[in-house]
Amino acid sequence: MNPHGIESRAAQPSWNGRVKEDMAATATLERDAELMLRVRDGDQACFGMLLERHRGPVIHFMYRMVQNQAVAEELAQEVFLRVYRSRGTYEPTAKFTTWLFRIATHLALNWIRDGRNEKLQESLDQETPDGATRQVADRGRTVEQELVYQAKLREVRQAIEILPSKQRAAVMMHKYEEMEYSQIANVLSCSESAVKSLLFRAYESLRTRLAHMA
Amino acid sequence: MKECPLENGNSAELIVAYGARTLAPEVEAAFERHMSTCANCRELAAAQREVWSAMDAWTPAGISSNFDEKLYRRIATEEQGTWWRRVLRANWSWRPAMPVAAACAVLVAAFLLRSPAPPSGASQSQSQPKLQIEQVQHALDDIEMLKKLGVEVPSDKAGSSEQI
Amino acid sequence: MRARSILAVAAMLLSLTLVPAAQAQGRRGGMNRRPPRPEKPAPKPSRTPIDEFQKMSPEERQKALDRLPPHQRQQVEERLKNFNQLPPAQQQTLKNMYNRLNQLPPARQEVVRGAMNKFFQAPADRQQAMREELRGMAALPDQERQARLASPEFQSKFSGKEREIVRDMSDLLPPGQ
Repeated sequence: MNPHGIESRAAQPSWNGRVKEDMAATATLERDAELMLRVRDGDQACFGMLLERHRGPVIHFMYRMVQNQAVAEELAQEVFLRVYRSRGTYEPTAKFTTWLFRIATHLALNWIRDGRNEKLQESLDQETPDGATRQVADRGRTVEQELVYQAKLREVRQAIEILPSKQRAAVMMHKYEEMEYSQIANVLSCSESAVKSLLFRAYESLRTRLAHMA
Repeated sequence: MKECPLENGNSAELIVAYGARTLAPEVEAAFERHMSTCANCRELAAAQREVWSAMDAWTPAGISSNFDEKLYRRIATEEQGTWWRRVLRANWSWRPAMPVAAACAVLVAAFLLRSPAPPSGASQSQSQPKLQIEQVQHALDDIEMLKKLGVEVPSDKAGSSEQI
Repeated sequence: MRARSILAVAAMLLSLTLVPAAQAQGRRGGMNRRPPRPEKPAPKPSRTPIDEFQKMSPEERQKALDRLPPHQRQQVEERLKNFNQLPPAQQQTLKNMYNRLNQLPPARQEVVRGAMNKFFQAPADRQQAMREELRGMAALPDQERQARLASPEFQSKFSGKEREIVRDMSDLLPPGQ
C-alpha cells in the first residue's frame, strides 16, 4: 500500500505477475551491468550489445522529447558516446537504464532549454523521413482515415510539446518507457512524490487538451 | 471503494494508473464498481484512457541505418585523440631531457646539412597529411546522400573537363 | 649545471633556426642564385578522399582499413565497391557534387546539408518535383537560373519551404555557362 492508499502493480511487489516482472527486470539489470563492466574491461563487443539493446529506446525517447528525428539521433549519439567515455569509471550502483536515461534526459533538457528546438521544429507532414507518416500509410488506411489519424497525431504532439520540459520527460518515461515512479525519480534526481506531482499535472494538462478526441 | 477518490485526495494516482491499466485487478474492479455510481470519476477516467490511447498513436520514426557506423566513427576519432592528450597531459619534467634534446638537434642539423636535398616530389608527399580512413567514410556518406538526391545530371559540364 | 642547461637550450634553438634555412639553401644549390619562380600549376580538379584512397598502394590501403573494426572495414569495402560499380559518368558527377559541397564555406555547407535533410523529409511526389526542377536548372546559365528562381512559375509551383530547399540545393549544381 503506497502513501495514497492505492494499490497499483507498481506498488505491489507481492503480486504474482509483478514478481515475475521484477525477476526479469533483475536479470536485465544484471545483464546490462555485466555488459557494461565487460566494456570497462575492454570488451568492445559488449558495447555493441548494449547499443543493440538500448539504441531504439534512447532514440525514440529523444525523438519524442525534441520532436525532430535528425536531432534525436544526434543527441542519442552523444548519449552513447558519453556511456563509452565513462566506461573506465563505471560502477553498477544504479540500474543501467536509469543511468542511461539520466544522461539522455540531461542532454534533451539542455537542448530544449537552449531553445534550439525553435529553429528546428518541422511540420508534422515533413518531419518524419521514414517515420510515423510513412509507417501508418502502410497500414492500409483509407485517405480519409489517414487524414483523421494525422490530425490526431498532430494534436498529441502539440499537446506534449507545450508541456514544461521536465513534465514532458516524466510523461515520456512513464508512458513510453514504462518506467516506475521510483526509476523516473532516480533519472530526474528528485523524490518519488515530486515525480507523481509532475506526472499528474502533465496528464491533467493533456486531458484538457485532448479531451475532445473522446 | 467506500469513498470517492476525488474527495479523499487519491484521485490523481488512481486515475493515471487506471488509464495505464496498471492497477492491481482487485483495485481496478473496486474502482469500476465505484464509477458505476460516480459520474465525475467516470468522466475523468474515460478522459485519461483517451489520453493514453491517443498517445499510443504516436509511433516512433525509423532509425537511420548508419547510426551505429557514425557512432563507432566518433568513438574511433576520440580514441585517436586520446593518445595524444595522454602524452600532452603527462606530468613531464622537461629539464633533464633538455641537454639530450639539444645534442640530438645539433646532430640532426649536421646530418641534414651534409645530405643532399631530397627530390621535390618526395618532400611534397612527406609533407602532405596522410589520408585518414574516416575522411573516406565521410566522403562516402556525402556521396551516398548526394546519390540519394537523384539530382545528378549526366551532362555535368564541370565534370567532363575534370580529370581524376 | 644551470649554465650547462642554458647552453644546451641555446644550442638547440640555434640549430632549429638554422636547419630550415640550410635546407632551403641546399635545394637552391647556391646562396646567390635566385630561385626560379615556380610555374603556376594548371588548375587541378580537387580530388575526393575516395580518389586519394584509391590512389594509395594496396599495402597502404590495407593499413588504413586495418585501423577500423572488422565490421566497419567490411562496410567501407562494400560501399567503395558499390561506388566503383556505378557508371563512370555518374561517379564523376557525384564526385563533382561532393567537391562543390565541400568547397563551400562551412556555414553555407550547413545550410545546404540542412536543405538536403528537408528534401528527404518531403513527400515523395514533392521530392520528385524539386528533383526535376534542379535537373532543369542544371542546364541553365547562371543568370537564367536566377531568373528561374524569381519567376512566377517557380513561385507558384513550390511552397515557400520548397523554394528555399531548391535555392539552397542549387549550390550543388555545376556552374552554369
